[in-house]
Amino acid sequence: MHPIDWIIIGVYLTWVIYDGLKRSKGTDGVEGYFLAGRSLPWWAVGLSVMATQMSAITLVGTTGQGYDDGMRFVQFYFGLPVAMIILSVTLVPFFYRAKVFTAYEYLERRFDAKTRALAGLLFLVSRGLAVGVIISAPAVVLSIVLGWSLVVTALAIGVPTTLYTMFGGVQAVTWADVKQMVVIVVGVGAAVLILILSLPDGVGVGEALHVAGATGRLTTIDFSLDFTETYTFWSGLLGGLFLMLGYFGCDQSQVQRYLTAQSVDAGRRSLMMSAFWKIPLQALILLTGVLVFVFYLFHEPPMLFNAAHDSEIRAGARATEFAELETRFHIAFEDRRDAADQMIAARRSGAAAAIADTRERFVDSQAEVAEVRAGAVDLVREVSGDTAYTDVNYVFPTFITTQLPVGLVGLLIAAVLAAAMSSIAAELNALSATSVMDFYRRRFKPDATDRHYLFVSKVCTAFWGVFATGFALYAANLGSLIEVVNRVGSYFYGSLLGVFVLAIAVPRATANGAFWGLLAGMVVVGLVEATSEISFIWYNVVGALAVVAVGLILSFLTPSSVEA
Amino acid sequence: MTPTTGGVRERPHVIDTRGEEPFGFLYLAVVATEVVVLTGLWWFSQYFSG
Repeated sequence: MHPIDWIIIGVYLTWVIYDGLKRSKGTDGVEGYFLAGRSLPWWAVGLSVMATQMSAITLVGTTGQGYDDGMRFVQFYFGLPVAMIILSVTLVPFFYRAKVFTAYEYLERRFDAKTRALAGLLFLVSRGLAVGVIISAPAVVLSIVLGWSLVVTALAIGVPTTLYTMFGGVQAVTWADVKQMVVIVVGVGAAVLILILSLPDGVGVGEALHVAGATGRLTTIDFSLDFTETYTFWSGLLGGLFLMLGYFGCDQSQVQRYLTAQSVDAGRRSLMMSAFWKIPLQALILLTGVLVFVFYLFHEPPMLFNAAHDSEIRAGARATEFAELETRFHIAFEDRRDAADQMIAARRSGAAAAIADTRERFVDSQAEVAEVRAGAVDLVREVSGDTAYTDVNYVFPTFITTQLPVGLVGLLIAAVLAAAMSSIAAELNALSATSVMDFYRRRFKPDATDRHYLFVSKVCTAFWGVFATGFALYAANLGSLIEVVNRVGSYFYGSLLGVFVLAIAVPRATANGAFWGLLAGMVVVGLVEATSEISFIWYNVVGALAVVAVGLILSFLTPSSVEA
Repeated sequence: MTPTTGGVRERPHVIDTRGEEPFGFLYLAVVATEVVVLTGLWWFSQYFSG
């Protein structure tokens, strides 16, 4: 990388840490540390909500998905706007008026201490491990793309984030999120602009999109009702609705965002920002990936975007096989470029028969390129032993470092770091809040001073930061464990959503019904996963319904705990 | 600060629209925007994939 890019990354990291440390001056009590004294404007909270949801893997993985698979992933978010409206008239006003620090605190008021403890524990375990993965995934990608060691990239992400979150609390997290969202949007916008300007002379954006569209990459809506498919209209609208209700309504890392708002209305308004902008933003990021695909129609891409695996195989026992694939890839690329040129020329001529013929030839040549690339990925899987390996996450970072001009490389790497740090900071802050408020203060030291709790909160943030960074280094070599961590999340959200539905919508629900219903919900999701092929997006629906059903049955069999 | 003890049982209203300003039109705008965005995505898909 050019020194100017290094300077940009250095300035970004220094700016975030400096501003975070500056915010610590306004954090003199535990309410200020975790809730910013409920004083933040709606737009800052709204940007923080969006930044928290967008991790580095969302940014890097989604663009890669746009490149390899197209835009159908956007359907995953179709349930989000309606989820935001439902939360705005249910949980947001309720949590805000209840003056709670954590979502789980309310479960004790409504049910009992063990339900609160179970929900809090589930959050700590699932998100504590997940935040390690949130550090690990971009650290692995950046270490390979930039040629840094994994330890350096993990520390470059984990240490600054832990520092500003520990000292500045939620104020630092929120205002850093605001800056990070700006860096992300500017970075993605700049990449889109460069990609459009990089089109060959005479090729228009519309013509390029028609070529990409011929491969199905611009298919954004699939109305098929297939429960095994994650990315369909119905999966996104219904499964996604439950997932988003669970994530934004029951995950402390998001609940804590809107609890910092100045008023209930400000909290609602902050969620409306995501309701309006999430789908268009996600579509833009996916379109960026499609434009990277278009770029590589006219510039030969690497067969493997992961340079480390590329070098490893070249130097290994299967180098000859790899070289043969590479020769095939080069021929297939040249054929595809020629087919793309002909397709564009045919579209200009307007001759329907020529358009159909050239389109068919282009689709065939793209299939050949994809087949060779799949062969190379299979080779990596066999050589490395990583059967789940995918090249998708390396596409966008490789494009950034090899194709963008000086300055933009630094900006885009800063954007990837920003996406990682914004999610990690919110998680660390929420993990600390749950550790202190739901366990330490509730169970071990209920009568200490505010100053003591503030100190313990900072220690907890540091602990979770060190734990997550350490786990990230460990998780980097354990693909299957990462999958387990992600799976725990899908058990958790639907089931926890079910408990909150019982709490708010079912007057007759009892503490035992809620507690055992929560456990039963996760068991049911586990059984469904083990015995069926349905997509994980539906686990949230299954979990929520199972908790409500079991909770209702047990509540009618046990005495009510609700006081009239 | 007084920690919660578990002795109080609270249940909120299921739907709570109380606030300083009405949000009805904003919610309608969200739904309308989603319909427009999804229609736009569908058109985009049909136009460039066809």
